[in-house]
Amino acid sequence: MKMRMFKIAGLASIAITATVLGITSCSKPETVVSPPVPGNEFLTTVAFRCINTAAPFDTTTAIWRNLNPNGTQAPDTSEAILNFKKNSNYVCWVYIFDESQTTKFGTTNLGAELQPNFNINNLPSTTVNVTTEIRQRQNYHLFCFNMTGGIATNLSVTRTDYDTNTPSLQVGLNDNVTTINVSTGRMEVALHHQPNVKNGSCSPGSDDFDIFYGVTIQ
Amino acid sequence: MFLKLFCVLVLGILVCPVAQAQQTACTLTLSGSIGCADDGKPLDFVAVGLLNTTKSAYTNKQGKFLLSSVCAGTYRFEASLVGYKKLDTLISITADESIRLFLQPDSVHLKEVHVEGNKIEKQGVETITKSELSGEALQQTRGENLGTALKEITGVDVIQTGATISKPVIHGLYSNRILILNNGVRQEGQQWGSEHAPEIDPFIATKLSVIKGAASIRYGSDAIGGVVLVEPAEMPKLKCLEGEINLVGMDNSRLYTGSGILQGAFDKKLTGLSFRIQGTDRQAGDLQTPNYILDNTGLLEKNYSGTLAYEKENYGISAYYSHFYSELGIFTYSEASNPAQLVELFAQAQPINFPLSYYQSKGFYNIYRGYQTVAHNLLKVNAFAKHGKFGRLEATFARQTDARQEFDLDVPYSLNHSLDNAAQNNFDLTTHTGELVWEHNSFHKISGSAGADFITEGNIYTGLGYQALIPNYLNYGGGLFLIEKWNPTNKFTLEGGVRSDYKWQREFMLNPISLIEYTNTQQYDATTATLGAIYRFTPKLSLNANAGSGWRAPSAFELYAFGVHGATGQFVVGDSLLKVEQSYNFCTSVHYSGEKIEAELGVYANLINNYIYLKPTLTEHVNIDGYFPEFDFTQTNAFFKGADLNLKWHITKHLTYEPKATLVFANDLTNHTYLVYIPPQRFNQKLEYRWQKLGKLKNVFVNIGNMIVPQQTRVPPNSDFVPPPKGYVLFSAAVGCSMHLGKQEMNVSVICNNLMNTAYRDYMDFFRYYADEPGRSIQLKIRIPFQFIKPKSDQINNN
Repeated sequence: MKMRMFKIAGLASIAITATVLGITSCSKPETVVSPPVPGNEFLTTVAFRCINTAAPFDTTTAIWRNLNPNGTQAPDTSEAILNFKKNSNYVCWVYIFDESQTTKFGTTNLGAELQPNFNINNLPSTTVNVTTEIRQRQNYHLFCFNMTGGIATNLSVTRTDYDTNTPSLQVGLNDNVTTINVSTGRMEVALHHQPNVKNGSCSPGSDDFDIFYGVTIQ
Repeated sequence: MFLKLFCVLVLGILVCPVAQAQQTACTLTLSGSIGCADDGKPLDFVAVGLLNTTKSAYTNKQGKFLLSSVCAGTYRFEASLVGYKKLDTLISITADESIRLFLQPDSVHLKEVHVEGNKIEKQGVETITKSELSGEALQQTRGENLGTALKEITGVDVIQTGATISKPVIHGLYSNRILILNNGVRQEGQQWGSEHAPEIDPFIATKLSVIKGAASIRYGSDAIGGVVLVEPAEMPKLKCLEGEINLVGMDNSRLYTGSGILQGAFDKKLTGLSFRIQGTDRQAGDLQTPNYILDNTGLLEKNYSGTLAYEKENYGISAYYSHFYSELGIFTYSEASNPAQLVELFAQAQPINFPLSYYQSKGFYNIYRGYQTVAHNLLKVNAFAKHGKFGRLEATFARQTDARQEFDLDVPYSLNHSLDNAAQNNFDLTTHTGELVWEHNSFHKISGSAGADFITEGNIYTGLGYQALIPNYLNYGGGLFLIEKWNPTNKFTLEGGVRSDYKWQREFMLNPISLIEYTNTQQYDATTATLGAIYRFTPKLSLNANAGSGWRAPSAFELYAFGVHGATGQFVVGDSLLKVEQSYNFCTSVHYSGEKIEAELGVYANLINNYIYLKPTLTEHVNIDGYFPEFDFTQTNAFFKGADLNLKWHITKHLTYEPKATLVFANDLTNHTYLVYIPPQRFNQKLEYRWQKLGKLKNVFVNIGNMIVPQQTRVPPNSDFVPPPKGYVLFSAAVGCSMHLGKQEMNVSVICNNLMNTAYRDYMDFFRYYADEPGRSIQLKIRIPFQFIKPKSDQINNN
């Protein structure tokens, strides 16, 4: 009797092992690497475009881009340069784009799009304008600007647009830039993400991006 | 401040006098003598014990034994000795008891020596130092998570990401370097992350044990630092229907926990059939530090499990299923996008401090973005068969699925807001494990087991980004082991074993530039061995020593990580050529359990070759979020040593003093420096006064304790953004008693942690960059055992 029981248990354990091998040798979804969830937008490109309020043909546009959001390549900062005239006032806009899809189809010419006859509605089909979404979420977003080098005392940025919080707080998608003397330096632009805690200051929250432009005032 | 202690005491006294009637104390003694049934002569070195408790002893030369600090109740009493039939009987203890029993010589195996030790599959390696948490000590941790509960055991620290996420650290090692056995099955979640807590409901366990040494010999890869055993009670054998309800409430974070268990066994035609169902509901809101509330630190847990077993003397089968679900808020201001911001956050004296009205209006228990969810399912099927000559064969198969979702503070940008509620990271891990163990009968005083086990895992990552923190992978592993014990006398055990392991792993990845899939494959093998001994000088005093080896295959994270690790602001780069970590571990400990003094003193040394760690490269990575310092996974030789000291001094019949120390020292031998994130030394002490009876209350206790943690000064230079926080001293107090409400027995206790409301930060908590640890908390714990059908003592199973 005991021997029989033992045999049954032995057979049972073999059956279990066989089942296991059966389960593990079925289809293997692990072998397919999932692409990023469709519809998600990467912040790959930050453009800062300014027009001299006294001379409408004096425009400057800087583009910071990193088309490989996974960090395998260093960002392209070749176009991330702003040129201002001294003692001038500029009205400026920040644009944020997702150009990640363009890596599959060759490079785009967004830089040219932004040059002088820029039209936000005339983007390459693979480029997504994330700026509108940031505008929709303006109540918990704040742009912060920080100047270092010679421009620290010669350039100031003032945010000119306001959100719908009560009381209303600045956003920074629209800005004024004022320059004084000839100088060079770096301008840091950071988009702070501040759900529930936006209070007009730059300290709370995390960053959606934090990038630098080279600046020359002539 | 002592006013608070006074309040606690008064609260306890207010709660307790509700009690009425009968005695339920844990100060009873069970003594007796055991003789041979043939000639009545006393038998020495008979192992006696109460099942499902820690109470056990050996008889002395006069055949006498003494079990002290026994709680009132009904127990299964076992007595076993080589060459005699095991005695298994029910004993009801209501007052100090003395019993006299006789063992029948085992006529069938008279010439063979039969050693009834603990089951090997639960014990692992007997000669490695092991500590346990059960009974009242475990009861005092109810409502805590697994990591925090295990901290009661010397040699165990925790590594935390805030108070709600904690992982056990054994002798300075954690994550993939320790193994957790959940009801006998190796827990496979996403252990590689220090912010990934074990997906286990501690309420399933009636005993938490920690094997404090390399136990790869029995469990394979990963058991380098030690093994945590989460052990449920044995299934009931005699007809019954019983259970227990546990309720825990805490003022800080407004935590509440309710857990229930119901189990039963049948008789007549259904003898051998038993079941158990269990469930836990746990929720907490925002935690409070002495000076501010931590926004979005709530948690929600819903767990349940069920067991169905059919067991006869010589065979049995059981099935166990458990489901664990948790949702954990991540403190809003612990998210720094880059190291500069991290340093900025740390420079703040405190995070943004909202008024209480903010939390009241948003709801204390609501969890917002910046949270993680984990769902873990485990199905285990186990069968055994015994045969007189052959021994015992046991087969176990388990399937686990672990689904982890991480929702960052940032809402993803998407067309039509379709991904507004999407998780940034999804990890899905499916694991199958199987094991076949044969415990052979004792032969020439040698007993032991041989076995084979296998594991196969599949991991799938999906997310919003191109970059997977860990790639998809498949792996297969297997091992063969043999562990033998030689018991020439009852005083001495010599244990030795060998094991051979093989592991194959293939990762599936995308080239980030060309987006073409490619694979990498690794194969690892390892041979481990163990040698240990126990010498029992007297039934009270024993010494164990073990030298063993352990191994660990590098995790997919260590091989292929490439990107920013959110919790630390490090740009982490894996190395696909990492070799197997190999540890050589030595541990020894002395156990003494006298009437006045109980002591457990252990020392250990652990040499780990190819220890994998993150080395700063002093270079930076730039992405749209800013600048990140790069850390690469690198290997070095590391040496861990330390001591665990645990003493219990019964100064008088009522007063007990219990000091503990957990000492860990770690060195990087290759680079002649220290290692990061090694726990600082820890000293605990507790003074407890206990009345067996106080008025109408039973087993009343009052205690006050403190914990001293000095600053961790043994850190490598320039390895961290900020120096380790200062040391701290915390006080705690507790009162408790057993009582009856009508006929209903219950245990009530009130515990106050961080009594002085000290503001402090802990080196092993990633939150130390941002915020203080929680302030004072007062917990109320109630345990209500119940029995609808009591097991009858005339069903004594004396085999």
